[in-house]
Amino acid sequence: MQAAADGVVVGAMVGLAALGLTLVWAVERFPNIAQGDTLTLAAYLTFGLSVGAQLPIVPAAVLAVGGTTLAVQAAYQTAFRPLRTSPRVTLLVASIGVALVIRAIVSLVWGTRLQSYDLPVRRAISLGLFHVSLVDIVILVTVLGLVGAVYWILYRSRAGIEMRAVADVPDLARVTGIDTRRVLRFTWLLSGFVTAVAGVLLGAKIGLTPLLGWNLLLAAFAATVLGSVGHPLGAIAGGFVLGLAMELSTVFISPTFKEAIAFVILAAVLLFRPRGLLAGR
Amino acid sequence: MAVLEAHHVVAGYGDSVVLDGVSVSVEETELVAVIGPNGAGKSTLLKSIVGLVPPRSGSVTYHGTELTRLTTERIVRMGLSYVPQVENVFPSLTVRENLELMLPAQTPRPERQRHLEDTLRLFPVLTSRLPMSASVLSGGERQMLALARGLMNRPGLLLLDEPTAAVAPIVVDEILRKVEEIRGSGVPVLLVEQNARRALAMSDRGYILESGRNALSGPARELLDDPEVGRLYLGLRTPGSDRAPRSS
Amino acid sequence: MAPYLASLLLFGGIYAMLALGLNLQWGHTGLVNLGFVAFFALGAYSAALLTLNGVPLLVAAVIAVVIAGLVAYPLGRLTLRLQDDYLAIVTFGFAEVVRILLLNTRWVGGADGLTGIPQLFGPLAADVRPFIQLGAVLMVVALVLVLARRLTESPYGRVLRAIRDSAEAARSLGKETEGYKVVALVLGSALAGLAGAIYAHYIGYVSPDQFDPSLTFLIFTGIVIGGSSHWGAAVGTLVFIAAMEATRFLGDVGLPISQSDFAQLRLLVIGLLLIVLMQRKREGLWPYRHRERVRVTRDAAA
Ligand SMILES: Nc1ncnc2c1ncn2[C@@H]1O[C@H](COP(=O)(O)OP(=O)(O)OP(=O)(O)O)[C@@H](O)[C@H]1O
Ligand SMILES: [Mg+2]
Repeated sequence: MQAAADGVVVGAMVGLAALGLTLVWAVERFPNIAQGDTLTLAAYLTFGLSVGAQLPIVPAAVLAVGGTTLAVQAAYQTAFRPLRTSPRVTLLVASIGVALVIRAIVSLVWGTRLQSYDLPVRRAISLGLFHVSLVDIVILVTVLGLVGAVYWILYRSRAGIEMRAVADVPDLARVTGIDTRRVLRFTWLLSGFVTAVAGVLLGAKIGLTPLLGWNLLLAAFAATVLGSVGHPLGAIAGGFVLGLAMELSTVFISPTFKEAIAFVILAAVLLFRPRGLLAGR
Repeated sequence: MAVLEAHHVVAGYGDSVVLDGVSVSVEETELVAVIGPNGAGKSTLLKSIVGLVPPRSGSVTYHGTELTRLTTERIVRMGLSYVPQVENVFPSLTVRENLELMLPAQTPRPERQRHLEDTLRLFPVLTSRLPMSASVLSGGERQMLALARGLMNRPGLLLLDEPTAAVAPIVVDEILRKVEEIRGSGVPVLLVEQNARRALAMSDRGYILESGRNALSGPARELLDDPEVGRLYLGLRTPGSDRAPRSS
Repeated sequence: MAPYLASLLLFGGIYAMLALGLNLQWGHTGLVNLGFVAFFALGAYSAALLTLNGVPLLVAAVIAVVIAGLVAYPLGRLTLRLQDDYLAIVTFGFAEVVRILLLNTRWVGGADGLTGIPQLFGPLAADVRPFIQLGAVLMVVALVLVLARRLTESPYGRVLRAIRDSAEAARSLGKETEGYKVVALVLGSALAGLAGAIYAHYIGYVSPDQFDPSLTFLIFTGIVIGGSSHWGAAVGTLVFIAAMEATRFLGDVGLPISQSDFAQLRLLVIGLLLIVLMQRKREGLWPYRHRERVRVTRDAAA
């Protein structure tokens, strides 16, 4: 039971990471390998601002989200935008470069040993069969709020509809008069923001190492593909499936094979339902 | 002044030259057909007019304004509507979203509504489909949506690339009737068509492209009656013989 | 000094083989195999396990090559009928799983790995052995180079590059492209397996930390610098790895930077290079040139 509760929380975080991933993947058409290290960056910025610069945790988190969103935008402008006419695999390789650069900088600034935020006493709240902490509740509420907001943007706002159009048929979007550059900028902003929030929360839940986000990347890929690339609700649902499967596997199989579970799910989806569970067509 | 004037356009993909100095023009209220064999460069011509395949040399003007330097987004915002041959609707968007995207973001709501109603008047089949995903439309409905999209922003020129491709024969008639209706409402049209005979029959003038060059051009009537044209491009067996439709 | 040089050259030969393998995948076919190091590891571990159980080295090496290639096959089949991105994430996941399995499986030694692996030409006297080993490895590298050249000069090789360069060509081949890509993936991975088998029997032990994922990115960067010609990829990788290794000695010269910071700086350099190189022409310093094309241009000039 406790494993299931943990699974829901882990799933929420995998889902948020997948949400950031799925937006860029749908519009730019490549899986951003730097996604994991972006999570790491957000967590370390929070750590640096709260533990290092002695800011209270909430303003530290807000600043970290802003800083990470800007960093992602900078990465887009320098590493990805110049490749807009290149084959998509070159963007994928460039994103490996971005991942390594972020990881190296994080390690150089904050070192490689395990760290954690200095959170006020974490008292677990018991709910009968299992208990949750305040952090868990914050995570769940944030995730639900964020996916709701992203869903609204994609399906109700002009900017989001334009994003979906560019993701769908890029050339037709251009002859429709859509400013593709603005759409891409916006996509990276939105994805960067979601990823930054996910990273801050991840750091609150798990201890910080430079591989914090990288270790979540495989699960985020699997959740994205499971939920169909480009589908915000699918990403979150996929996240929950992954989180539950991975946490339950620690009980029934062994904690060491969590990632193997993510890999098996990814392979199974590609084999049987390559466009994911939500694909309409 | 001509609405559209393309002059000696050279364009292609990568190292290959597909258009080797093509010229076409469209006057106010005209319906102009472009025909030619597969791979002649008809689609490429339309793409280079809207800047998707930027011309390497030559000029394209719209009401006297040079387009060759402008981005596609700018060109279509000037009032040229282009309906591609394939992928001409967004399948994962709803029909309403497909239509409304054609208007600039800042269009006020009442005006948007008026544009939508005007367009639906010409394409009533779409009214009940508005909330549906474009991916569930039938082939004919999809082409109607593509045409409707092209008209949504009340263009000053409509570029149509084989609007009857890949639809059932009875829908072909319906679509071509719509094209005539559109021209009747005063919008000039540049029509690329594979049904060469039908296209010429309804057009004012015609151009025949062959391997990226102008082969022949003139009033549509004259092209239709030209025995050489009939033999080479309209699939007639011999000049003056009974008119056998091309069996492709 | 001479044995030390011989050992450097021998490692160079192993890296050259890895570079040739990855170059077949990325340089010639445009495939992103993020788990390349896992095939190197599979080759090393399978050959080591076999020889530790008395199988002759040559047989063990052949089996290791086959295993590395065979494992790549389903991964390719699974992903290459879909978009190319899926190969990248599946191989990434595969490498993680291999790493975790190696770390946690007792009969392959867990974190300690396997030791006491028989040496190449073990029976020979210790003072001639390094040179014989080196000679043998260089011969294998030369053979691999010749075969790789054969392959990429064949009509098959031309198809691979056409697939890489032009979506149009890929489309006109339709479903067949998948088969071509799978073969490139399998051959490149088998080559990594061969490199692994030689590696294990040269240094005599294998452990999971020798197969860190960053090795894949190191070689990737090397071949992207070098270009898709076989020599270019091999030389680019060797020079790049040598340069990265040389930074290890900078600490000894008295620069006030710790070893672990150097590791991070190396990572930073690899990352920056990948970003910058993708924006330059993809051909690298020595792009692959098809022999025929050279002849044609000469004819045209005449
Ligand atoms: N995206 C592209 N990249 C490379 N070559 C292309 C591309 N699109 C078209 N071509 C080539 O350009 C030439 C002209 O193509 P185009 O589509 O303009 O012909 P078309 O006259 O419209 O033919 P169809 O009647 O089949 O539509 C053809 O040889 C085609 O192979
Ligand atoms: Mg065409």
